[in-house]
Amino acid sequence: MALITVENLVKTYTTYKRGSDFRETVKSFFHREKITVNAVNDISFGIPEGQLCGLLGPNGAGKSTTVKMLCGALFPTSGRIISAGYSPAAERGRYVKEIGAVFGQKSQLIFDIPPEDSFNLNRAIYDIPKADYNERLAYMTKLLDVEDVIKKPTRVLSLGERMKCEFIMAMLHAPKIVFLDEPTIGLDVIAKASVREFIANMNKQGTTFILTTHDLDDVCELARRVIIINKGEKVFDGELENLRNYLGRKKVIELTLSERLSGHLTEVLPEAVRKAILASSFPSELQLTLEADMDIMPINQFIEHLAESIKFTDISVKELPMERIIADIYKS
Amino acid sequence: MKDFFRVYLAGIVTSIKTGAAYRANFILMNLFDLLWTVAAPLVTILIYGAGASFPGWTFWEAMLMQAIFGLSSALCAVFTENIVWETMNHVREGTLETVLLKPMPPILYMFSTCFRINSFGGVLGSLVLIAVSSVNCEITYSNLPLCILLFLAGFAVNAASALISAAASFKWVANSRLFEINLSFENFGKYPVKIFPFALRMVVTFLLPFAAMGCFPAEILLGRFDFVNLLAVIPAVLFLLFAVWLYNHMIRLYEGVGG
Repeated sequence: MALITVENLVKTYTTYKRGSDFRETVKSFFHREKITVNAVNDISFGIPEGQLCGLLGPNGAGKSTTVKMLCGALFPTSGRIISAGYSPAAERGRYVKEIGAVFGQKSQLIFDIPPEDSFNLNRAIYDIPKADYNERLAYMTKLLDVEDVIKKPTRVLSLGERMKCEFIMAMLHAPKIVFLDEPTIGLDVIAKASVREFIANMNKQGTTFILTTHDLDDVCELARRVIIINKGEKVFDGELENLRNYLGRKKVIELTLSERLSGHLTEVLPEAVRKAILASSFPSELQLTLEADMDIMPINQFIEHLAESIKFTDISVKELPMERIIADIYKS
Repeated sequence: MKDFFRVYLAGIVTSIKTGAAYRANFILMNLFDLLWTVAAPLVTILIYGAGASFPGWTFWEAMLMQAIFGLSSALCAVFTENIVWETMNHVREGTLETVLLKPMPPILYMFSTCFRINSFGGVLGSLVLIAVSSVNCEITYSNLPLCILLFLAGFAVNAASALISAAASFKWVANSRLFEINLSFENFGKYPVKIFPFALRMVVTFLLPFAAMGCFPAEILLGRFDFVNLLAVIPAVLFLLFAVWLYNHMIRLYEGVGG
């Protein structure tokens, strides 16, 4: 049974439009043109307990609005959400005890005092028994290597240190579900790795995560399942592995040429091969990169034809980069 | 309710820690608040120094009224006023989600975290003024419970005023002027209601009983209270209930900002 069930979720809101010139500014004092925005349009999905699901989409796709509705912070215009047995917005008071959230761009820590003081406030708010609090705090600070950091004022912490403390803040009350909205934004590679390891670790212990991010490495490393939203609508929902095949079986073939091509690529390659090639580029004089659709021509035949037509000293065959797959899905 | 007091206490402790993080600011803010409160009845001193007066009020009686008003304002600055600025910032910056994630009514969470220790100097200054004025007036101590009741009604009106201004910011984003208008309006509470025209007197007694912030508690302590004015407690409670309802209603309209 799904821990989170979302059915036909819709969120519309009204905003105002005005031009940027002075006349429009003056006019806007008397009349503003209303615009109805369909931020989320008929989205449905279910998330089982213990899953780590990536929620992807371009800017303005409706991801954050969806997460806010799942957190109970926004009321849906229509549709139904049942999360951990609650209707999030209607039963917000009881529901939020079961969830935690980390917003990459919205801090829950109090800026002027050490994170430990913010944690203590949360202990009072969530009524966490002292022994449990101490145990969880010790465990998480050790896992994230911030035992000393939590005693320094938040304002002097680095972004990475602050983000680690945000995770502790969100998880001290042992929530069943944690919503992550761009948790690794702006972090260096080491901090990202540490945060990802922490998420993976907590997920192994049974916490369900909904991860909203633009960093596809986060998704590739953590999520088993991905939901893609574009223009308020769900455009993909499935395993990460299936996402790679979503646009067909495409490969990137990189060749190191032994000599310059005798003519244009279209003259050198047979027509059957050309049909399978979706894009080509020359990163350098002796480097050729091809993007090919293996549904049109199987990989063994494609390489066989290449070897007959072009002299090369090295070849590598790669999966289409996830960024490219996602970008293609956004465009389509 | 027990949960609220536990969180409220933790909120106050956190606010004290926050205030203490910047010691110089903490000391200066409290010192200025104290001096400002003590200097606030300057107009009264000038009026009485020039030989004029509020009809029926001696200098020290007028000082007592204004000191009680000052205490009400200072307590609001400590306990409730910050909710206006905090709500306004949350709405403008789209960070109210961090409040809505807490497992308690947002209004109670906001109150528990909006305690402002840096305004405590005003409370101290007002208490000193009340003590000095009381020594120079004839106080009917048996009326003290009713005085406290009216004082609480005045505090409720001020808290309601702050809540309504905060609630308005959900719709009128970053509109700080509304609260400043409210603050100006509450000044009617620091003068004897009898100096106002009848209509205004009715408004500050029975509609928006700002008179309960200073005038009524002082009158009852001085034993010259018109007991009909006790009815001001009812609109004060209703005003506060309306403000709480409005704040909770406006939270439903919160839409956040672009993510």
